[in-house]
This record gives sequence, structure tokens and C-alpha cells, in this order.
Amino acid sequence: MSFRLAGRRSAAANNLYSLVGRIRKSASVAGLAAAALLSPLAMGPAHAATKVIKIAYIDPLSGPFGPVGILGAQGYEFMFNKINHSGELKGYTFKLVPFDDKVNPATALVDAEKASDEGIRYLLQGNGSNVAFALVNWVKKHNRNHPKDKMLYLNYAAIDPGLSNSDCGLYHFNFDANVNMKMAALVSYIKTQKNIHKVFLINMDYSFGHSVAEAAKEMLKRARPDIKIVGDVFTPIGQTKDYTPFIYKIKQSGAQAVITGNWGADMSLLAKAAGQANLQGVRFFTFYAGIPGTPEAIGDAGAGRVMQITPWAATVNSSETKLADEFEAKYHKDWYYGSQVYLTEMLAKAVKEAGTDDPTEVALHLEGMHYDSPVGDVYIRADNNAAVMPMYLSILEKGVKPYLSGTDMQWKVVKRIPAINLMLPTSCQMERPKGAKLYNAYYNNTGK
Amino acid sequence: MLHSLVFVLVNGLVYGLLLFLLSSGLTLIFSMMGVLNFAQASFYMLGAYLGYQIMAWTDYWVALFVAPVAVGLLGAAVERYVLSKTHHRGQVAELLLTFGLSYLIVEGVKLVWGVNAVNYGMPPSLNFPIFAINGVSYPAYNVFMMVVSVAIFALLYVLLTKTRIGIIIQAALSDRDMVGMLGHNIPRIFALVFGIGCALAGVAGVVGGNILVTEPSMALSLGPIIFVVVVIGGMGSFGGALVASLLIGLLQNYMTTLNVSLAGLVGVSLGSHAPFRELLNQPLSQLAAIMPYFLMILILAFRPKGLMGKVES
Repeated sequence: MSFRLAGRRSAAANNLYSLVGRIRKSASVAGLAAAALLSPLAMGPAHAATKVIKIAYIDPLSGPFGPVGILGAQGYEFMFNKINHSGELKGYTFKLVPFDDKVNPATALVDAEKASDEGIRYLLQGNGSNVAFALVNWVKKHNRNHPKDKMLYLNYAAIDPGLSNSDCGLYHFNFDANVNMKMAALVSYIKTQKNIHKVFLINMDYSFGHSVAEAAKEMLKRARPDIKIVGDVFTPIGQTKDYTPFIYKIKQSGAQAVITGNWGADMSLLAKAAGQANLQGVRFFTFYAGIPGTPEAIGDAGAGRVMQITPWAATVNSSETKLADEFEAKYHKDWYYGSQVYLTEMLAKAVKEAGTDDPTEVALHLEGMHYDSPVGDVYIRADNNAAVMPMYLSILEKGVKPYLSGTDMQWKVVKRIPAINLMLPTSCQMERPKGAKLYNAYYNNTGK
Repeated sequence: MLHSLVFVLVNGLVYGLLLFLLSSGLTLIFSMMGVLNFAQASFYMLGAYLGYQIMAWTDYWVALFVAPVAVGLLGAAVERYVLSKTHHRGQVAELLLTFGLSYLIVEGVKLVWGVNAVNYGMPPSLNFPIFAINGVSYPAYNVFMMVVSVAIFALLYVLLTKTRIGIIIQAALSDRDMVGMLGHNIPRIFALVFGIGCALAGVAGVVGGNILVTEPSMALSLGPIIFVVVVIGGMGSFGGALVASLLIGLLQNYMTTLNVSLAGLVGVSLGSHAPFRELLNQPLSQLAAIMPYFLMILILAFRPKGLMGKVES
């Protein structure tokens, strides 16, 4: 959702250039044309003989979280279009049907009911673990009451660990690394940094922020018992305007690293305050500093200071970078969700292998699937239906290309953490249909 | 401990003056016109975006003058052609109108600049550390922001109490018809006041937009706190707004910087079964961000006219 104003082109030329684009895009943001923008016409040639698999996309399309939800929808629109054009999905085409849930669990459930009434059997959602939990329970209930019209829920970004542990299920797949996996990836890097002796934790005061802090404390204790946690603070969501006192505390504590799950304004203001205070020798390990819009808001303050852990970054040398360029050329936005590529490809593979769009058969083929993605091997664990993928730790650097829109910076990859390191124990008790065949079983918690 | 207190004082002053800068326009419009301008934060947002855009085209110092003038002219036009029609229908009509206006401005900004944050940086000439306390530096720009804030306070004070136009403005508030009979153009005076109030929001946007974040939700996230400042300070009192801003700045910094809980503050240590243990052992830093709202409720309950207000609300 961003426009390169002070970016590659001259500002004036740029302004004229993107004004038209802006009006078109922003109209969709206002919720006027969200559905029209993602119209079936844009979905590529649906050959007369093919069967359309409709997939409900339930995420915010308006309000403060609208930009993130719309970016996600456009990513899937882009990926589905590619799959449909490639003819890879013999006899089928994917079609995205967007619903606006405003990150509200109750609205999301109404959307799921609507989708079910329209004959849709696939749900796609990512923003908000609270919404994800609501959908998990709804899908369980729905599938019990409608054994002939089962629903399959694909979660691409909600990362509460409960979703792949206590609340796991056959009809519910997690495609993003959860909080514990991301923290394990961060810790596997921090462990090797001899100059980090003290770590400061700052998080938002709700369940997600607390699970980040808990995971950090527990994993650091195991990996590097000598590291001291010198701060563990929480701030109410979106209320803190001046983060300078926290920067002062970080400075006083002598920490060399800050770990934070902050996102949105709480992430930008924290990083900006660090820049304004000229805080040196402290790296910020973040989950969400890369969400489109945040690097622009942070600006130069983030350079050489802010790091992020993601399944993909633009500087990973892979064919996915080409995809990202194509996406950018079409939508004038930075590509963000690496998981969209392998989710779409794996779903297509499961449909192809199952030879049907029946959710149960597709789920059974997704279980334990291995996919050789452009960024490395991705596995879906059969024991909790969660994807395990390589993760990339990257740092915001000036002068690294391709520039993120509105900046002269990019995420430079510092370390690749292989998928095998992120196979954490799970408490999931998977309920499968009696006698159902396990088609693939590359990984479970006992290894290969 | 002493070092921390110095930090609390300095950072509280910096943040307090930023708050005053943000709320001065609202105070002016409320005290001189009796209009509670709900769209104030949206004018602030417009100022920040215009500042960013003009700085990208020319440079910061041009932006600092052009953007507030543009926002002020827009504000004056709104008052002259739309808002003035609602004055005789009382505060509810005015409130509803400015409420609608705030959404209109936010959506307009999104249409032009998109829905993500923009990279609005400090002017390079002021972006260097000027002093530091215990290793926490302050850019020269922050000092500049404080100077602007104090200058606005001084200018408004002189304008309203020492000049002829200021006296006419004050008279127009209390005795509108009489001032009109004396030959003063009331609609024009009101347009002028509203315009200046919006221009102040524009200045706050240009100066504060790069210290904070320039993004579409900035109006929404800043709106409540400037209302809190005005309520605590006393509706329509500049001195009150200044005192309230500094009070909030200092208290918040005190609460976040010192590692104490409510129980620790009074020197009690609680057993594991003490009632309200959870709340009393909560670190004060966690409560700092909501403290201004708590203070506002206290003020409304025990001193409704605010610290230095003239109007019973």
C-alpha cells in the first residue's frame, strides 16, 4: 500500500505518476471496491472445462488493519492467477472470495457461515490469533454437524503456539512459523553472538506480547544460561507516544540486544526513539518490523539497528525474488508474505495428488507433505499439521537493493535457519478418521 | 537515582512541550469560539502530510511556513462556508459537523498519500545530537521543537491579551451581538480564529510529524490525548494546557523510568495471598500510558473546570 514518493524516481514525476494509481487503490481501501478489485475477471482464464475451487479469504479489508489484509488478498490473487495460468492444476482453478472480518472474531464467524452457505469449503485467514482460535472452533463444530460439507481452514499468519498444540486439528493447517519457532530461530542466532550478555524484552501488553516474552526467557535460559534478562516490560497496545524513557532504561540496563514482538506504531515509535536517542551497540530483534509501512515509518533510525525474522526476505537469492518483482510491478507494493508462495503451491499439489477438491482428501494429502520451495524445503508436520520452513534473520541496511518503497533501505539476510532446527515438540493430539491412510510422512516429532 | 531524576525532568519537559504544541490549536478554538473541534487531530495529520510532501519537493523550512498556512486557509474556509451555519444550533451540531469532517480529511489524505506510513524525516541541518543525559542523546531538532512550542505559547498570549484584535476576539466570544453592532465583522473574526487554530495544528503536524509517525491512523491515535490535555488544563486556558502537558509529560516519564510498583511506592511488600496483589504489584511503567486518562477522570469528578479553566463544563 505504499508509494515511492522520495524513492527511485524524482519526487515530482513520481507524484504525477502514482496519483492515478493511488486513487484506484485507496478507493479499495475505503472498502468501496475491495470486492470489485479482486474481481473474478482478474483471476485469469477459467477454462470452460475446469472446476472452480472457491477459497474464502477472511481478513480485515477496511479499518486500521485494512492495508495489511488487502496486501494479503492481493498476494493470493497474484499467486492463484499464476497457478491458474500455469495449467498445473489440471481440471481446477482457484478463486479467491474476500470477506472483511475487521479482525473481529464474531464477524469472522459470520463470514465463515456466509462462505459455507455459498458452497465454499476452504477458509484462508491470517490476521489475529483470536480470530484464528474462533475459526478453529467453528470449523470443528461445523464439521461435526455437517459431515458431508466439511470445511478446511488454512491459517497463513496467526502464530499463537496454541494453534498448533492444544488446539490443533486435521482440518486446520498452520503455514507460518509460530511464536516459539520464530523465537527458536532468533535464539539460535543470539546463542552464537559472543558479545550479547544482556537482553532486554519489551512487548505489548496482551496475550501475544506475553507469549513472546515467555518464549524468550525460557529459550535463552536453555541456550545461553549466562545471558541475563535485564528488562521485561509491557506497554498497553497503541497508547505509548514517547518511547524515550524505555530507551533510557535499555541504555541503563547495559543490554546489547532487545527482543520485541511489537508491531505497527508501537514498533515504529520504539525504533524511532532509539534512533533519536542515538542508542549505539544495541540490536533490536523483532518479529514485525518488516510489515509494509513500518520500515517507511521507522526511516533511517532503523538502519543497522533493526532486525527481523521471516520465512522470506527480498535479498534471499531465489526465484521467489523474481516473483516479488512481478508482484511489485503489478501492484506497486512490496511483497511481504513468503508463506503465500508455498501455501498456494502446496494446496495445488494436494488437490492434484488427491484428484479431488474434497476437503478431507486434500487435508490428508497436505499432512506430512514436503515441498521444495524457492527458499528451501518446507514440510508439513503430520503430528500437528503445522508447516516447518527455513527462516531468515535479516537486518535493515541502507543502500541495499531493491529498495523498500519510500526508503533507500532493504532487509539484508544475516543468517538462514534451516527448517530442521525449528522442529519443536508438540502437545497436539491429532484426531484422524479411523483407518485413514497417511499419504506422506516426511516428518513427525520423532524425526524422519 | 539522581541521574534518573534529571532524565525524568528533561524528557518530561521535551514530551510535555510536544503535547502542548499538539493541543494548542484545540485550546484556541475552544476558548475563543466555544467550538469543540473534533477534526483538530485530522488537521494535524494534514499538516504532517503536507509538511512531508513540501519537504520532498523543496525543503523543510519552506514546508514549515507553507503547510500551516495551507491548513489554516482550509480551516478558515471550513468555518466561513460550513461551520458558521451551525453556530446558532449549538454545540451538538458543531461537534457532529467536525466529527464528520475529521473522517473526510483522513480519507482524503489516504486517497492522496496512500494507506501506509510515509518516510518523513527530520531536516538534515537539525538532525545531530546536541546534548545527552546518561548516554541518551537528543537531536537538535527536539530543541527546535521546544522553541516552537514556547514561541506559540508566548505569541498567543500576547495576541489575545495585549492586542486590539485579541480583545475584539475575546469580546466576540462573550458578547457576540454587541461586538457585531459595533461594526466588527463577526463571521470574519470567527473564520480568522478557526483558521489560526487549524494553522497551529498544521505547525504541530510539520514539527511533530517526524518525531512521531506520519501515517493514516495518526489522527485517531493522537485525538484522545489532546482532548485529555485540554480537559485537564481547563477548557479554554492556555496556561492550563501548558501546565497539563508538562504535568502529563513529567508524570509519565517518572512512572516509566523508575522501576517501582504501586505497592513498592508506599513501601509495602505483599504476600502471595494479599487482595489486589496483581494490580498493586503491577510495575508503574505499565500504567504510565493510561495515567492521563485516569487523571482526566479525577479532574472531571473533583474539579470539572480543569486546573486553570474559566468555563464550568
